[in-house]
Amino acid sequence: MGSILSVRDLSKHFRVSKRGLVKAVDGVSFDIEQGEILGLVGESGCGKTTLGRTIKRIYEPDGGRIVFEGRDIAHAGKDELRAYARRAQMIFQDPYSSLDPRMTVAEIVGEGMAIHKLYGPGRIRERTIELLELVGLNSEHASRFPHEFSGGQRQRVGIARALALEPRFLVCDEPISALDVSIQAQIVNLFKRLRDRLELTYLFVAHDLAMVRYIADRVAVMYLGRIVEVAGSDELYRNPAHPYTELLLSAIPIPDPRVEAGREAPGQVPEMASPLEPREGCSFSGRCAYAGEGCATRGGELFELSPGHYVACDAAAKRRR
Amino acid sequence: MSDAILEVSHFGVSFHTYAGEVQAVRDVSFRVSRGEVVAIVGESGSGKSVLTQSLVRLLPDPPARVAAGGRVRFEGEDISGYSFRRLKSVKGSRIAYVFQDPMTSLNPLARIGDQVMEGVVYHGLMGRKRAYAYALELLRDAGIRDPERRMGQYPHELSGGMRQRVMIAIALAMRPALLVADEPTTALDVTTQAQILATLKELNRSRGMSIILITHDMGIVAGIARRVIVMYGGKVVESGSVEEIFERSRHPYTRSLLGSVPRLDADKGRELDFIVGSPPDMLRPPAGCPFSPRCAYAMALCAEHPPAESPVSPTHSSWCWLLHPGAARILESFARRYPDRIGTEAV
Amino acid sequence: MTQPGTELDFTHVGAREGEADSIKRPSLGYFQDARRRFKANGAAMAGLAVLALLAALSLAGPLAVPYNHEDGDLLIANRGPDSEHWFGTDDLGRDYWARIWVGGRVSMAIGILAALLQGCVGILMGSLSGFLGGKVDLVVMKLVDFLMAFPYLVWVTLLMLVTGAGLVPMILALTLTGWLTMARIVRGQILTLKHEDYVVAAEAMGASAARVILKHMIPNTMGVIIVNLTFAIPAAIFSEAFLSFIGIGMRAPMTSWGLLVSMGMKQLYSYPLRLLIPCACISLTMLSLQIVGDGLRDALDPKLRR
Repeated sequence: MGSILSVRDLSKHFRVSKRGLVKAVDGVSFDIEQGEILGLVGESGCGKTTLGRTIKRIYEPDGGRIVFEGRDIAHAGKDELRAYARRAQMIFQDPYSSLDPRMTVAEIVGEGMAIHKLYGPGRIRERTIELLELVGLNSEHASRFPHEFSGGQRQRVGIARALALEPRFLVCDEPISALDVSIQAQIVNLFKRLRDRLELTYLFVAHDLAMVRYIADRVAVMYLGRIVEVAGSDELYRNPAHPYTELLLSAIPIPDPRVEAGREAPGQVPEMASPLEPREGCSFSGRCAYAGEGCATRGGELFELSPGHYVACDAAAKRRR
Repeated sequence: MSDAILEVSHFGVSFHTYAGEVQAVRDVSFRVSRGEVVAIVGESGSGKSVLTQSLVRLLPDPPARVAAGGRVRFEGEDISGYSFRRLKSVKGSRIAYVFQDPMTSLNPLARIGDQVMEGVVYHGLMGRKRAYAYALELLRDAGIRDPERRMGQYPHELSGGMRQRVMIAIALAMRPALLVADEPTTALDVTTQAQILATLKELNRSRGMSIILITHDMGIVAGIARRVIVMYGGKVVESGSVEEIFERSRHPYTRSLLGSVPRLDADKGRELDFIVGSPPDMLRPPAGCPFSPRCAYAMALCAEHPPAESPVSPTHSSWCWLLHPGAARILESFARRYPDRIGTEAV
Repeated sequence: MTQPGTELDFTHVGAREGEADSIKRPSLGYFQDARRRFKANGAAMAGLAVLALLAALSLAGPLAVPYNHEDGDLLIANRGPDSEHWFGTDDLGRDYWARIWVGGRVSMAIGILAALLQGCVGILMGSLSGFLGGKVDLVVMKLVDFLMAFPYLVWVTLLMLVTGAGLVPMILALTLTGWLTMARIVRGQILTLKHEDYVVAAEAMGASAARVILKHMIPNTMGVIIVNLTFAIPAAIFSEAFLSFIGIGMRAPMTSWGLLVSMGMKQLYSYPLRLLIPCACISLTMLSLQIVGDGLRDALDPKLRR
């Protein structure tokens, strides 16, 4: 079973006036196996959304390679990009702005098929109904407009739209963050079911670690443009190796009053550094409770701590013992 | 029993729109005791924000209108009939608010210091020099470590978490007896959120200030609240102490809500509970229990008759027909079929 | 809450999934909602009524009398309003009622046509500029800034001195100079829409630029476009009036409100009606169009929905 997606040293920079460069994605490397759900977590500003969009070629990468099904998408020509646009799709975060308010649901879902001239109008109509039913809606919704639906329903429309082109890979950019809690569970279960049924692969970007643990097979943690830890989802939450991961996990409230009563709040931590400041070494060293002498100048490379568990912290191995 | 600082009874709010009347809050009653932290939990359409903002008429009328027959008692005084002018003595000073998005609550053109001092200076409580020192104290209480520096800065120079702390400082300025925080951490990162919640907890402890925390995050509720009020479709569906709600909930919505939240410490293999359907359309709310269209245990009468309050303990009440003696048979058959599912103990 | 005698039915029903997800409200599209809001606006409806009246009179007015606007009978020249000639006759004996309404047809037609043409050019320039960005945007915007720096009528007049007078040159001149506002407005909208998720989604699916602009961006800009058109019409009518007034617009034997004003000016002291009537027509038309335009803008503003 091979990797469907292989990212090596991917970078994406944004120029912010004369002051400097924001390295939103700074040398990121990882693989995703066919049929896997890789969760990508981090707080705001870590670059996870930029990473997702760069992989989908919405942004132009500034460096590195993106190898999808054997082909390097980062340097692909027009035709390859068009084929890629079919086989890799994106689900957006905001259900209120990701659907064109002037189009009916049928038009929205059918647009992909129309763009790529896949079928005639009759078959497009049939496929549209099939897709709506696949995501839990029905044909009566097809002629309605987005504003008539709730957030959860709109997100389903977005999923149906993405599935219309029969993709193999979905980049899901915080697809449930904007939804009510009880609806999140609905949609997450839908994602799981679709993955099983259609043999899809997901890059699931989110900031809700508890939800990501539930849905993902493996999880990568990002901080200021770099991946600091990757591990199987159970392993990551049970044995976090990177201090930042530990910090995140300790901050997540658990819906159980007795458990919460026994926990301590994380101590005062310095504010996150501005992504503009130059960094050598480990980007987290300024806030790290375990920071050693060398951390500010050296380190920050991922290495394999235990099988399948990668960490970008030199001190982690020592601390484990 | 500690005395109540806020008592709300049969409170309702509706909005007048061209399409009809949207009943955002219907017949809500609850109380907050002195020094207590109460969480109001609900999703979109539950009416939680409209409820708390309407207590001091923060919403413009029209289109919002407080229904007749509702009563609000604050610190023993009936403020329901107060004119807008008279409420000014309560708003912002005795009851303070903190909202979700600090960027729109702070004036981007004014320095932090001026905004924190504004309240006390406006009410004529102290001169500028004393107000300055007082503002520093407030910022420190709100968890800002270098307040001198922050006083001269503008909102855009601060991070989201810092701005929210400034909002808290502003809210604390008049020494309110009650702080209403409406989803104060939703827009913040998880680490910042934990710190802000810790700050609120500390303020509650050190000042004896009551807090109403509105949220949809059950984890936050578990960490900070003493009592919980669960709202759905404009009504209160359950209320009780935090242990009672989390461990012995007697309402299908609350249980499903708890079941649909993934827990970091739970077994990963367990399927997430989810609730079918979407939050209700408040333009045409169901006549009976607002949750009935989505409730797996719904009975024929649920859609027609709104359930009355069924006390489970002196501190715990649920608004659900399942607690009615007539539902006993249904509960038995459920207990047989789904032994691990709901608390099927008869009342 | 429930009377003891009422039969309470405890049969299990379960979640009504279909109903839980169904949409209860009737489908109300964007334009339907806008129409409703517009109708509620008293001033706008009044403006619309006045416009309708003027348009109806322009179309049907001349047909109501047996006289046409060209033939004059010198014997009955310079009559005041009477039962046969409701607006009297001019100095060549032509029926003024017929003339004013034929003039109205011309003025309104020119106004609408010019506004539409200006709109087309403006939409084209604005879309290209906004969508393509970079150098194209820079060049177009600098051009717009330059042209806007001078009074619009100065440009039109200069252009017409080159092209000569007459109907077609006038429409050409108006089109070439009047597209600026529309271009700026459309460009602004396009720039905003470029970042909307649904546009990004369409591009990510492989949509061509043309498809994105035509199917996604322009329809979502329609509100702004319509409002702008509604304001462009009175501006065009006024421009035509001005040009005809100073003599480089319409020429006899054609007639327009502008020409009628021009002729009426000369006879202000003897027959003031011949100045007042065309002026009133122009003013009322412009005023109504602007009030309707305001109403449309409010009605189409998505933020004021519901």
